[in-house]
Amino acid sequence: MKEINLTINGKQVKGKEGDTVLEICQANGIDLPTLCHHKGLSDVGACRLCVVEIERERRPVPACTYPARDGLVIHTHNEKLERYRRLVLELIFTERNHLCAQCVASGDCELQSLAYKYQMDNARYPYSWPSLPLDSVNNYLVIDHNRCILCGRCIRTCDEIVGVHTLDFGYRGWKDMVVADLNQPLGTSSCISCGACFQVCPTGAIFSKNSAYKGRPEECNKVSSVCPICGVGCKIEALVKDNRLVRIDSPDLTDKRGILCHKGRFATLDRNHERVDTALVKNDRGKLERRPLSEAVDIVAKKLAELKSRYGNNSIAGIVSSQASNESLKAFKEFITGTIGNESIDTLDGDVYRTITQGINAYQAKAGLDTETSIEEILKADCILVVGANPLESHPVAGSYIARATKQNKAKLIVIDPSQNSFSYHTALWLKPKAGKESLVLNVLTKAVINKSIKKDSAQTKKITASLKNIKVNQDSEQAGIGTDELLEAAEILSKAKHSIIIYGEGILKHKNLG
Amino acid sequence: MKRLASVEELTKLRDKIGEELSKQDKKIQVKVHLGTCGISSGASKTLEAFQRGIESRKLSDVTVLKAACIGLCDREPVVTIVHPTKGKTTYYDLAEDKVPQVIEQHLVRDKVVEEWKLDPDDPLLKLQEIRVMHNQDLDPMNIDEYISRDGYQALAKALTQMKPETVIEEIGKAALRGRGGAGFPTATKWSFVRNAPGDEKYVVCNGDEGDPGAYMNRAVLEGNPHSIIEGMTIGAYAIGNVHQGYAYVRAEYPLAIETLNHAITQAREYGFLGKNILGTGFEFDLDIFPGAGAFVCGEETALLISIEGKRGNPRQRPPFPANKGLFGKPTTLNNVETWSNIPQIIWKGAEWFGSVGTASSKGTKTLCLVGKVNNTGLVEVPLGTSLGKIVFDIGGGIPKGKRYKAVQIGGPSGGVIPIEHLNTPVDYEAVTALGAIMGSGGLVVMDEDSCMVDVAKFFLQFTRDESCGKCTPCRAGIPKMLELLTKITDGKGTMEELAILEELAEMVGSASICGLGQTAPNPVLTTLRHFREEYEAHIIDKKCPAVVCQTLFKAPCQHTCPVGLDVPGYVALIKAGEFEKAYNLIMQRLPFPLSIGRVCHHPCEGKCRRGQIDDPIAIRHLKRAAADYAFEHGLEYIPQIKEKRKEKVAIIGAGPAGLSAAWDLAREGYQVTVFEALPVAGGMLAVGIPEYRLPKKMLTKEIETVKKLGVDIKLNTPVSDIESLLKDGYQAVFIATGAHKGDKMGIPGEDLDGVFDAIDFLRETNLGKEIKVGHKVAVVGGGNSAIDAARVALRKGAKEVHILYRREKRDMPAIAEEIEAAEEEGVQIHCLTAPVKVLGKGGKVEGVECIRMELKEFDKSGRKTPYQINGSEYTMNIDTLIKATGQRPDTSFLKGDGIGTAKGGTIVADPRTLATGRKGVFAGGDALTGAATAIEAIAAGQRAACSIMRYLRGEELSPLVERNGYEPIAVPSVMPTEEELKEKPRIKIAEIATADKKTSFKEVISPYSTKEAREEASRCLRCDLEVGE
Repeated sequence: MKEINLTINGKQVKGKEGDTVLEICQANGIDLPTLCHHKGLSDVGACRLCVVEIERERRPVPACTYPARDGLVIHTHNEKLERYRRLVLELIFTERNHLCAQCVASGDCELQSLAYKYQMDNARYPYSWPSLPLDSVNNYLVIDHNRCILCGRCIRTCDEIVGVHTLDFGYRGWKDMVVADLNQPLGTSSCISCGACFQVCPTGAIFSKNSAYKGRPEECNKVSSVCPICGVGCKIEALVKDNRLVRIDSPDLTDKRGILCHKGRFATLDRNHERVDTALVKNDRGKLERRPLSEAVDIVAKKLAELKSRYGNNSIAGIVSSQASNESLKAFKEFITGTIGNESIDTLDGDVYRTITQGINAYQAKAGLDTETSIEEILKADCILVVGANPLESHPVAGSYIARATKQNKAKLIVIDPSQNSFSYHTALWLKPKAGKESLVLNVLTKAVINKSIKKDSAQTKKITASLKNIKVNQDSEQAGIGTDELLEAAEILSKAKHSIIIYGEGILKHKNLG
Repeated sequence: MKRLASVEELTKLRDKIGEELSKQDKKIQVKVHLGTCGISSGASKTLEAFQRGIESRKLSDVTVLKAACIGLCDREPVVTIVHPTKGKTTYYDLAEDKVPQVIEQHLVRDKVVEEWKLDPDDPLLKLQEIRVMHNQDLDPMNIDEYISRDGYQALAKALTQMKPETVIEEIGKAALRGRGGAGFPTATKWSFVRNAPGDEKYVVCNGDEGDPGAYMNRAVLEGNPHSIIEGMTIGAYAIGNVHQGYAYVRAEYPLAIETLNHAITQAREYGFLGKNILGTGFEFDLDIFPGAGAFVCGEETALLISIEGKRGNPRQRPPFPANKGLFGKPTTLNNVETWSNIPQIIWKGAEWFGSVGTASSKGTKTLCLVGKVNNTGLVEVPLGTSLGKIVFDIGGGIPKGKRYKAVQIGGPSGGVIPIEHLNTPVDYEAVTALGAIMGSGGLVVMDEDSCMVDVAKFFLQFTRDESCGKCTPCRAGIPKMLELLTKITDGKGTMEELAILEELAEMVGSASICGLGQTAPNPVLTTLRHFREEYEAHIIDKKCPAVVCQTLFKAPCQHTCPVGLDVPGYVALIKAGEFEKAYNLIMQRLPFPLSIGRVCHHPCEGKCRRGQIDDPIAIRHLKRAAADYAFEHGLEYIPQIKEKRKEKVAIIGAGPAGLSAAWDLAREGYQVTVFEALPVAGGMLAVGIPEYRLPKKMLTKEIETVKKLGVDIKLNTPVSDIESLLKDGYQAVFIATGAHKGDKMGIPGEDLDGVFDAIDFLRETNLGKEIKVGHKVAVVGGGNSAIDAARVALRKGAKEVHILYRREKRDMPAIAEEIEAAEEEGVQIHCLTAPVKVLGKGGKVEGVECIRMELKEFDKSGRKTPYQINGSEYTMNIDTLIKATGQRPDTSFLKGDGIGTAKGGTIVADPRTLATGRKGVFAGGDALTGAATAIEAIAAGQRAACSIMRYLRGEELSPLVERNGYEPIAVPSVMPTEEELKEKPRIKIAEIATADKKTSFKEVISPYSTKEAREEASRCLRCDLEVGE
């Protein structure tokens, strides 16, 4: 980036071409008030608090949208601009209902902070006091329109970061409202309850039911960790007060992996916040009774030792949840293999994944391709094929990446699933095979793609072609329950893509015994 | 139709069509104008009626054609009949039922029906310059007609003979500026886009015309669609890398969309759009994008985002659409009218284009003239035409003789331009300099009945509802401004809030994202700039001068009355036959109903709502009826004096102002002495108004009533020293000495024997002094004194009386009924005439040298300024000359009293509290304001009494006059019946025979009989009973 020189408030500063005036001000320690601006989101210049005067511009312009140029002469703080800012704050305060004393965000509110900064002890305009609805249908989130300042951060986050674009503005002008879909309650909308909107809301307009009134962020300890729910491994920041979880944030929403899902952000808070320090142990009469953990461990150890000595090592196998943490898995494995001395250890769904992994490995050996990739690659994809999986449900963050790619990269999404298409808003093509015919569809699709585009003389291609010699595109697609046209369209999309990604799930094998 | 493959083919086609059309030109063509407004007025039926009539009469030499709107909106349906040799005739208001007569008279008997014909010399047509609208007489659905008028020749010329740069150069030479409002130079805009990097660019036409009262673009879209297509194609060629254009037309214009769609299809068929246009290899196509009805989508960034299929919110610039526009590509967006101008500039050249207009604003502009103007409609004038010319000459002035007040230019984003700027040329710079904007060219004319605060409210309501809501200043600021304005119109505003309103308006205008927010405060800012006193009247006086803001009043008549008389109350009592109660009710506020019932200039009647149905209620005559009833029946109303007070008040001048102050103070118990220089009391009512208008016995009776309250009137007692009055124990003084000194004309011979001042002339006559007039009398002036003097001169035996007035009769300040009565009695009024020299012989008047005047530009009062026509002098033989050119107060007695006087002799005092610079001394009436009316003097007296009482009680002075002291008089609450609401003119008042009038001083106007009065009173709509919403 080219370095540029600007004059801000009479001082020479440097910046990079492509930066906004706001970014340069912030880099140079010039404090401009903002409300609609949020790092990582596009800038819209809506709140008008960061307006600055730039010489040769007829009017004050928002620093957040103004592209910096070499030689600009900028004034950020003068009587007029500060008066404008105060007038804007007065407008916001009188437009809706901003009574801090009753607000869930009091003490954690950017509007409130600005009011202190500008010493807003009164507003000179008449208060409008509209009576606006409160949407609390969603399991986790509440939208209180009375506190909304229409900065649009939640909307841009929902669109640009999360990719689902559930929220947008409805109505217009002084009747403007943040709405979900076509003005539905949040709970029945396409909202995936990721809670990103809650995290970016500068006021108390969007808040979490689980966290409300449990403590202000400034009173909490912030603990960095990794989300324990699924394999995506999202970074989290747990806010803890008095040894209790108050809320879970994403440490950096603007990071491309910055979003959390409803499970990671809210489900943890759903549970009882008591730490488990007792176990239920069956007493002599067969009734469960609460005993200290150490006692329970002793009982289990004693019983296992008995079994082992009476029936041998192989009498004890281990089954563990696939959602347990790596540390737990490792400890468990060491316990079973080392202490017990048996190799029989598995998870409940281990069979399915082993089968798939074997298949993939076999294919990989055949085609000589590296088939694994990192989850971030989804964001770069221009074509995504989802087979037998429902990432929005199982791994919502990965699911949202898919949604985002379809929106931001205009990536084409193809879903192969007999019964569900959870990406209905984003899908370019949904192939619905007969139950159990997923593998057939994949084979037909492979053949069709090779027919269309791939150089047929390479060694790998030959191997694959050979393995598909019995597949006939027309007949077999019909056999699988899919129209040939649709299948060919999918092949067309796949063959044109420069950066396609295939996402599969256990659904591939779900129906294997049915067809 | 095969696509045209070359320019030659186009030229051949044009010539072929021309030949065919010339056959048609040999016939009589009946063109029915079918714009949206025409169709809604029944033009389709008119068309059918012509077709049927001509068919059944087998008129083979007549052909009926369709044409577009020519802008005569209030005269639709409009039909033009073009005769092959005799030229064209335009008929207006030609509803279906009139068609047979036109066929019979015009088409069969070749006789023009003069009654419905529009005069071709009418300034409405004469002063226009038709360019953009030049194809409106064609059928817009027929591309051939467009081609016959050199349509698409400009495109052919550009594509084959001009380089793209040359096209832009030519537009630059023409100095065409964007017709959408901002007036940005079109060529500059095009070069920006041409020079912007990118291999995919767009041209867009902004047809999202949404201003209330603006429809000029609709007329072009409906009437001349090919000019837009041709213009955009030329633009696409000039800008380069443009192969697709969009016309964004609001969905509320279905006919425009249909017409343009049809035109696009035809243009594609003929090869003016699509691939390889006219065989040149150039490719361009055009599609319509119907806008869904958001006003903000007229804003360029919002419009482009809307075409992209998103919510039409504007976005912050930079980047500008020239670099990042539609779909992120460089884009040119021009208004309908701008595009429509392009083909003509290319075909006829920049020089032709610049032959009209001003140095910086060339060419013509289509304007929509709407509101309170006689000729509403669409007009096209050269830029720089003065506002006055547009409103008064082309627009034909204001209906119903009302006074012009202002024009709102540029729609809700524009601003008002008040009466004193009628000479403003309508061009981009001059309009902007007055705080308004040209906008798309909507001109809303407003008359005296428009409240400017209410107007600002109206436009703010519009912009509030149309704001997209994205940025805080516009979304939250406009409603806040509206709330503040509403407080003001409700009479609850404060001056502090007015300051906040101004501060807010400035911020919203400066800090909003887009043009909507930036210009939304303009109506507030311009009305504040030009009509601040109206805001102050609402805030300080709790008055709406235009009588619009309903929260402030019960009934318009009462609100208009300077003393706030309960007009609906006494009218209702008269209707009920309760004349005595009506009289008593009047006496609560007005101790002189006999006089005022005769001489009042009755502003109340001008605002009477009944006037919107037929005629206003005869309020003055009804007041007189009640007063006369009391007079005849010997009734009297003397209010109870609550409590005797010892404070003494001196009043100087026993005119209406002094006496009404005396009445109000005396009934509160104060000791009042009135000092009068003249031998009679009554001021101008006694010495200015002739006997035939106000019999002396009436006035005397009313002065007696004042005296009965204990007021001491000292006649023949001029006051020369205020200080000594204060020393004599008067705690307060009210100066109400009136304006009894005539103005000089400032011409030679003014001092000759036989030259009178009207004021002196009337006074001497009224005082019964011997004053002789000759046989031939000239009166100079146009006010009430001039008329009074003229009529008195007649009664004193003059054979001929001539009034010389330098402007036109409609400009005369005298009461219209008086002018009419004078003429009826034989007074001759010479308008546009001024005296330059009084001629005399031996010191006596012998004649007057006059000069003819002509009216030129508008002056600050909105009237045209008279100028002498050199060489038009002529002599009029007369023996008496009465000058009535104005009067002023004589305040020379105020020396060294600490009381200031202004130029013209008027006293300086607070116009609301009437306090002068000297503590305890107040001044009002004509002495303060210069010559005004009796009722205004009475109001000033009441105001003075109020201030004096507050002063004597040691209270702070207030601009609000206390209206307490009423004795409760019950008024019937009866709404008018259905029958009474039916149209019915006012009951005529009887006058004595003209022959009698001229010779005697007997009162000329007879009173209503009680029956007539009750009948007239029953016409009252009882606005005072309306229940608030």
